[in-house]
Amino acid sequence: MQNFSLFFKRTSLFLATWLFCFAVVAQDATISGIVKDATGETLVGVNVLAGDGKSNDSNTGTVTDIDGKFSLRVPKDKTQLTFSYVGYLAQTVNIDGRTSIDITLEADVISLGEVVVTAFGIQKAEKSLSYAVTEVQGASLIQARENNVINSLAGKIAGVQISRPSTGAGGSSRVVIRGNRSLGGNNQPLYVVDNIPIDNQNINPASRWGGIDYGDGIGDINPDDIESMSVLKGPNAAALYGARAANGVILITTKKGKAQEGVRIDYNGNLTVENPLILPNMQNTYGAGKNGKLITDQAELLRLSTQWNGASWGAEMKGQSALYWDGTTKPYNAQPDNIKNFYQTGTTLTNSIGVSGGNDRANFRFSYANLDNTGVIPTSTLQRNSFTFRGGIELTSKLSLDAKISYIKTNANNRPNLADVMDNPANGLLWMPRNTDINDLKNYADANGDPRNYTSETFVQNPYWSMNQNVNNDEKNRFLGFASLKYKLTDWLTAEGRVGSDMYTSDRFAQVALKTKYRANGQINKDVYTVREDNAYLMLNFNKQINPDFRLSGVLGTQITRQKFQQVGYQGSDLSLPNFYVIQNATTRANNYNLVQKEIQSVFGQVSMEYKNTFFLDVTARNDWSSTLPKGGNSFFYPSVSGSYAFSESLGLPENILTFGKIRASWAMSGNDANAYSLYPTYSFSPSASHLGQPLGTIGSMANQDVPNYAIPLANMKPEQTNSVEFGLDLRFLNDRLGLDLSYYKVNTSNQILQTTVSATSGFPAAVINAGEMENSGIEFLLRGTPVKLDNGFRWDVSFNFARNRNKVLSLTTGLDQLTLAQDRAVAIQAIPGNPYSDIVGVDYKRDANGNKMFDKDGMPMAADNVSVLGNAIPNWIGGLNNTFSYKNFTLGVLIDIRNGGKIFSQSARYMHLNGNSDQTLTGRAEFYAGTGGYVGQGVVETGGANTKAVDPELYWKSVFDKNIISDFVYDAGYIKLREVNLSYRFSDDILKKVPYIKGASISLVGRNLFFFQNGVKGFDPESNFNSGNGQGLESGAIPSYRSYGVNLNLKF
Amino acid sequence: MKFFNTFKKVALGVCLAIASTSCTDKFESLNTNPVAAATMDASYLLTYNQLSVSGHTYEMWRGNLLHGMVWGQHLSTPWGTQTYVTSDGWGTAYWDMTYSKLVVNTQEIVRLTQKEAAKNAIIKAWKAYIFHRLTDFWGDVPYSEAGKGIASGILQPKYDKQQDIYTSMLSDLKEAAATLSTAGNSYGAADLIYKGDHAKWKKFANTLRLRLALHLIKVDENLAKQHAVEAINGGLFDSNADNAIMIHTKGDTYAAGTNGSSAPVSDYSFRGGVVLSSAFMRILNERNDPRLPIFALPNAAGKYVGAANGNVDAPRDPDTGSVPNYNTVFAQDANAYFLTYSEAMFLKAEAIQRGWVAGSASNEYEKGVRASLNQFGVKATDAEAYLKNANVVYDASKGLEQIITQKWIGLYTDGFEIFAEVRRSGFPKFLPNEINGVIPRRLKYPLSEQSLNKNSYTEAVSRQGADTETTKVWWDK
Repeated sequence: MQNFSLFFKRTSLFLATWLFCFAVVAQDATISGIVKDATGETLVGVNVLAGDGKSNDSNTGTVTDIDGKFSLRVPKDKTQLTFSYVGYLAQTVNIDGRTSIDITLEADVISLGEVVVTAFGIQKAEKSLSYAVTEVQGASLIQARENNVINSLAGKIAGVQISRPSTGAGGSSRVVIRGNRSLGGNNQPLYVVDNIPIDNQNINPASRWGGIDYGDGIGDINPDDIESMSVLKGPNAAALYGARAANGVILITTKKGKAQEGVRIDYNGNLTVENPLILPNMQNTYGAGKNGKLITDQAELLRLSTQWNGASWGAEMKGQSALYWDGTTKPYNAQPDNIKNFYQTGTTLTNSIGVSGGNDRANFRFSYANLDNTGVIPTSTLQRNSFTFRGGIELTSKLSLDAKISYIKTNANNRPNLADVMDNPANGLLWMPRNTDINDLKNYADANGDPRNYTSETFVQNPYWSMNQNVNNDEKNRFLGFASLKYKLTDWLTAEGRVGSDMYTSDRFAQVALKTKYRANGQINKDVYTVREDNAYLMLNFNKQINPDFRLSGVLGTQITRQKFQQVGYQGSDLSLPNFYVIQNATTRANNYNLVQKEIQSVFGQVSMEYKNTFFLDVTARNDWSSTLPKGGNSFFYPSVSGSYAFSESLGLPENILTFGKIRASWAMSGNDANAYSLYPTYSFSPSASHLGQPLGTIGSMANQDVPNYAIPLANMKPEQTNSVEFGLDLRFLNDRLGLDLSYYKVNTSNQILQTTVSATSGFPAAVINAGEMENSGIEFLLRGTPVKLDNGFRWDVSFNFARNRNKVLSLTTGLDQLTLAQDRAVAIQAIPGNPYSDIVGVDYKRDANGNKMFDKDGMPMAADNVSVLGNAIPNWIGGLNNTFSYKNFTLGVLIDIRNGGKIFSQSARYMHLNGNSDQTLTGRAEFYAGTGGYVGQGVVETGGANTKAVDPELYWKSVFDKNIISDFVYDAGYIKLREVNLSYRFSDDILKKVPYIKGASISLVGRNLFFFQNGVKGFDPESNFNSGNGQGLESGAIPSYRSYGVNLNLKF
Repeated sequence: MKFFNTFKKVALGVCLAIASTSCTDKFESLNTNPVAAATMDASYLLTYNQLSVSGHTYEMWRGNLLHGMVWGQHLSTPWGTQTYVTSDGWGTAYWDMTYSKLVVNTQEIVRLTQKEAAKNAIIKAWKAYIFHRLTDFWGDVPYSEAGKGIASGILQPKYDKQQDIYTSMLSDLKEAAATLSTAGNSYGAADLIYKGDHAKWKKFANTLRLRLALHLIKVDENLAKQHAVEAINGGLFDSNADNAIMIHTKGDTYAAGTNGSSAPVSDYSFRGGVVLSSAFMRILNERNDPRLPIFALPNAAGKYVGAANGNVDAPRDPDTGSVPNYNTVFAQDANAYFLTYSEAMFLKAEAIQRGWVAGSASNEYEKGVRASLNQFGVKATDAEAYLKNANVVYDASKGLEQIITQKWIGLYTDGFEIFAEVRRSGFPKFLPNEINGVIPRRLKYPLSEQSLNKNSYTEAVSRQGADTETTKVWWDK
C-alpha cells in the first residue's frame, strides 16, 4: 500500500505543478523557423537546442510542431542552434542575430531507425547494440488494429511466434520468442510498460473440460497510447529485468506530450466487420440416418448425434420427404450453410482521442479510447474504455517528474465456452446432421421451457440454448500507473526513483439455466479475482564521455517486486426459482477463497563501454532474493557480457557498397524462482465445506468437485538456471538499400522447477520437481531492401524475416519418461526427452515393417498396441514478408505471415469422421450403398498382401474412433496467411489548408487475416488451440478464427 | 568470481539500506499459504474419508457403475465397458481418485492416531474396506507404500501381491476387533458412520473380515474358514441399525450416492442409455420381487425389461427398457450402503452351509432376505409373502446359489462387490444371451501407470500375468 499512496501523492504533486508551470512566461529573444527535409516535407518533432558553442543547454530547447515550425526564446548568451532528428544528420547554425531560421536536414542513410529503446527505457544507438532488439512503431499498430494489440506483431519480427487461440474476440494470445524454454512453467515474455512490468496472466484458462478465455494482460493496452514497442529477444537483452525476462521482454513505451504551441488533438476512428475465416468442411450429400437409410421413428432419429449412432450416415438427400427431429415431415435437403448461418457478421468500432501539449518545461497527454465489439457469435459482445493521463515536468533544473495513470474498463457478455464442453456452440454445430436447418433451432425452448434440440444426446446441446440461457458476463477494472522522479546529480549522473503498479479486479459470472441437459438443476458461478503487482526502483544512471574516444555509461539499481493474487468466489447449484440467478436461490452452495503473495528483491547493475564508436561492451549483473525459495537458498545471481564491433569503418569500403557492418556476441545467465507455497506440505478443507454438519479435512488440497489438485512440495528447492549465447551480424549495403540482420543463439534452461504428474498411487496427482533441461538453438534473420525507388516518388520496401528454432528436451527427472503438457480424449501433448517440446502422442494404425497401415481380414483398421508420437506442434520455421508500396500520398502495406511445418491434432475432425459430417467420409459411400464397393483402407492385410476389402464407411470410421486411432486427424499446421493489408491515403497539405482546424488527415482501408494462400488443416485455422497455454497442437471444438476488414480515419487538430 | 562476491555484498548492503528492516526476514511468513493449514485434526480427515468412499459422480459413475455394475450384470449401457473391455479413462478415474483422496488420507490418519489405540483400530478397519475394493478390481496394487508421497517421499510405490494385501487386511481387521473391545478414545461426531460407537465398529470389522474371508474360498479354503469362524464368533451385525451407511441429504454435493454409484441425479443421465440388465430383470421378475419398483422404473409399456450385456446392439432407452429408479436408490438423498446386516446374514448362512459353523443356513438366509427388503423399504407383510415364492423358499440342495443370488440382488448399487461375488462364486447363473461373451476377471491397470510407475507396474504384471481382463486375480485362481 505504501508504494501506491506514494504514487498518488506524487501524481497530485505533479498535477499541481504542471498547471502552475504553464502560467510561466519566459523572456529573452524569440527565434522561429521551419524545418524541412531534402524533399521539402516538413519535419515534425525535430529537437532544437540553443547552445553557446561549447555545450548545448537542454533547458533551452523545443521541438518542431506538426507543421515543422518552431519558436524558441533564447537567452542572450546562446549563439547557436542545433537541430537533431532521428534518421537525419544533426546540424548546428550560428544565430547571428537572426529571429527567423529555416533549415533543411540531410537524411543520415546509415543511421535510419538509429535509436531503439532498450532495458529501463535506455535509448541506444542501434549500431551499438550487442544483442537482438527489434522495435515497432506505435503507428503501425493503429490502422489494421487488433483487439489484443500484441496480435499486431504477428509475422513482423523474426523469432517471435504469436498465435491467437480460437477463443473469441477478447481472448488471450500466446507469444513465444525463440522457442519454449520452460518445460512446465510460463513460456511467454515479460511485458514492461513505461519500465514497469505488468501482469499478463490468463487467469483460469480453458482446459479440455471447457472454460472461457477471459483474455490476458497485454490485451488491455490501448494501441493508440503506444509510441513504440521493443522486443528484447533473449535473456541477454533482458538481464536487467530479472527472472521473468528469461523468455524475452516486450517493452512498451507510451506516448507523452511534446513541447509545442497550443494543444494537439489526435483522433482515430476505426470500423471493421468480422466474419469467420474458415469453417469445417462438411459433406452435403447424405443426411440424418444410419446405414444409408432414412429414419422414420422420431425417438430413434433423436438418438443420432452420438458416439454410437453417428449423425449423417443416412440416405442421399434428394428432396424426398423425411421425418425431422422436431416431428415435422419436410423435404430431405442439404443445408450447406447451416454452420455459417449460425455465426453473424461481427463489428468492431473503435474511437480514440488524444489531447496533448507542452512547453519546454512541462508536457501532458490525455487519451480516451472506446472499443465496441459485437461478436461473430450471436449474443457475444465486448466493450473496452480506456483513459490515460500522462504528464512530465521539470520541477527545477535538476529535478524532474514523469507520471502516468491509466484506467481500463472491459465489459464482456457471453464469451464463448471452449473445448469439449456442451455449452461450446462450435461443438454443438459439429454433430448436427447435414439436413438440419439452423433456423429450426433458433426457438431453443419448447412450451414447457425444456430445451429443444436435434438430438436427445445429453452432451450435445442446442447452441442457441447455450448462448441465450447459459450466459456469462464479466467486468475487468484495471489501473496501470507509474511515477518517476529524476534528480540530476551532475551532468553525467542521475538518480531516479520509480514506482509503478498494475492492479485489477476481474469479476466473472456464469449461469446454467434450469432444465439444461446434464445440469438440470441449474448452476451459478461467481469469481472475483483481484490481482496486483507493485514495483519500486531506485537507480543511479551514469553516462560519461571519459575522453573523445571512450564513453562509459550504465546503471546501478535496486528493485522490489510484490505480487498479490486473490480469488473470492462462490458456486451455487440446485436453483429453486427459474431465471433467478443469485446465490440465495441456490440450495447447494460452495465457496472459494485463495490468496497468493510473493516478493522479489533485487540489486542490479549494468556498465556499457564505447570505444571510438566502434567497439561496444555491455556487462550486466543481477541478484534476486525471492520469497518462494527456501531460507538460506533464496538468493541467486546472474551476469551477462556482450560486445560488438562495427567493422565497416575500419574496412574503409565506400558506403554505396558496404554501408555498415557489425558483428556481435553475447553470453548471459538468468535465474528463476518457484511458485509461492511450493516448499512445505499443508492441509485444507474441502470446497464442499461440510457434510451433516461435520467439517471435511484433507491433506493437500482439492479443487471444486473434490478433485485433488495438490502437488507434493519440495523443501530444498533451487532456482532454475538459463544459459544463453548469441552471435549476430548486421550488414547494410548500397547506401542502406539492402540490409541483413542475422542472429544465431543457443539457450539452455536447466534445473527446471515444474509440476509434474505423478502416479496417483503416491497419494497425489502431481509433485513439484527441480530437474530437467531443455535446449533451444536457432537462427533468425531480417533481410530488407528497397528494390524499387523511382524519381516520381514510387517506392517499394520489402522485408523478410525468418526464424528457425530447434528445440530439444534434454532430460526430465529420473523415472519420468514424459511430461504431459495437455490432454484431450485419445491424445496428449507431451515433452519427451530427446524430442522437441510439444509432441502429439496417441494411437496410430498398426503398421507393418514398411510402415503400411494394417487391416484385419474384414478390411477393418487395426490399432497399434501402444501410443506413439504422431507429430510435433513446433513449426520448422516461421517468417513474414512485409511489403510497403508508396507513391505520393498513397501507401500500401501487405503482410504475409508464414509458418512452415508443425502439426495439430483436430478433435473436431475426429468427431466429424465418426458422425459422417466430414466431406472426407464420402469416400466409398455411394459405392457401398449401391453394393458396388465401399471404403478400402490403403495398406496391407494382417495376413499379408494389399488390402482390397471394401467396408461400410460408417463402420470403418466408427472403428477408427472406438480404437482411438487418431493419426488420420493430425494435420500439417503450416500456413501462409495474408495477415494484413493496409491501403492508406494521406491528405496533402494543399487540401488541408482549405479545411479549418485540421492539420493532418489520413484514411485507410484495412484488412486482417484475410485468407490463406496455403493451409494444411482443411476446414480449420491452424491457430485453433483452445487456450494459450503450453499444450499447443490441440484443436477441440474450435470457435472459427475471424477475417476482419474495414476503414480507419486518422485526424490531427 | 571475487568480483561477483564483492558485488553481492555491496548489493546486499544497498538492499539493506533501502528496506527499513532486514530484507528477507518476512519471506518465510510471506511464503506460508494463508488459506492452507499447517496441521489438521485426524477426525476431520476421517469425516472426509468416509464421505469420499460413497464418492463423487466422477469416479463412481466410471468405476462402480460402468465397470462393476455392468460386469456384475446389474446394468447395461451403450458405452465401451459393455463389451467387457476396460475403459482406460474410466478405470483410471476410480483408481486415481481412490488413491489420491482415500488412500492418502487413510495413511495420514493411521499416522496421526498411532498413540490412540481405538481410533487407530477404526481407521485400520476402514482402510481394509478401501483397499479390498481396489485389489478386488485389479489384483496386485500398491498397498504398503501407497499414499506416502509426502510422508515418505515415495512417488512410485511398489505393487503388493494380492495375497499379502489380504493377509494384511485380515490381520488388521482381527486386531481392530480385538482393540475395540477395550480401548476408549473415539472420533465422536466426526465419525459419520457410527458416531464413535466402538461396539458397532467392532461388528463392522468382523463382518468385513467375514466378507473378505469368503472371497478366498477358491484359493485357500482353510484360511477362509479360519477367518470366517473367528469373525462370526467375534460378533457380526445384529440388525439394520448396525448397517454402515453414508447418509445423503437433498442438495448435498455428494448426493446421489448409493454405495458409491453416485449417479448424477437427473433423469437425463439415464436417458443417455443406462438400463437394467436383462439378467437382473429376469431374476427379479422370476421372483416377483417387491424390490423391483424400488430398483427400476418400468418402460413405456409398464414392464420391467432389461437389456442384454456383452457385444450386442440392444436398444437402451426408457421407452423399451427399465432405467434405474432415480427417485429411490439413485435419488439425490439416497443412502450409500457400505456394509449391511443383510449381507452379514448371507455370509453367515454360507458359512453354515459350508459346515464351518453350527446353525441353520435357512434361518440366516431368511434373516438376510427380510433385512434386505426392510432396508429398501418393503413392507414386512410383503416380505413374508416373498419368502414363500417358489424361487425364494430355501432349498438346501441349491442353498449356495440361493444365498448368493439373494445377496447379489441386495447388493444393488455396489458394483464392486457383485463383480467380486460373480467371480468367486459363479452365482447367480446367467443365460448366454444375457451376458453374450465372457465376463472379465479384473480391470486392466491404468495406462498412466506404465509411464508414471513403470518399474512397479512391470514387476506386478510379470508376477500376476498379462495385464488383460482375462487374467485372474490371486483369489480367483
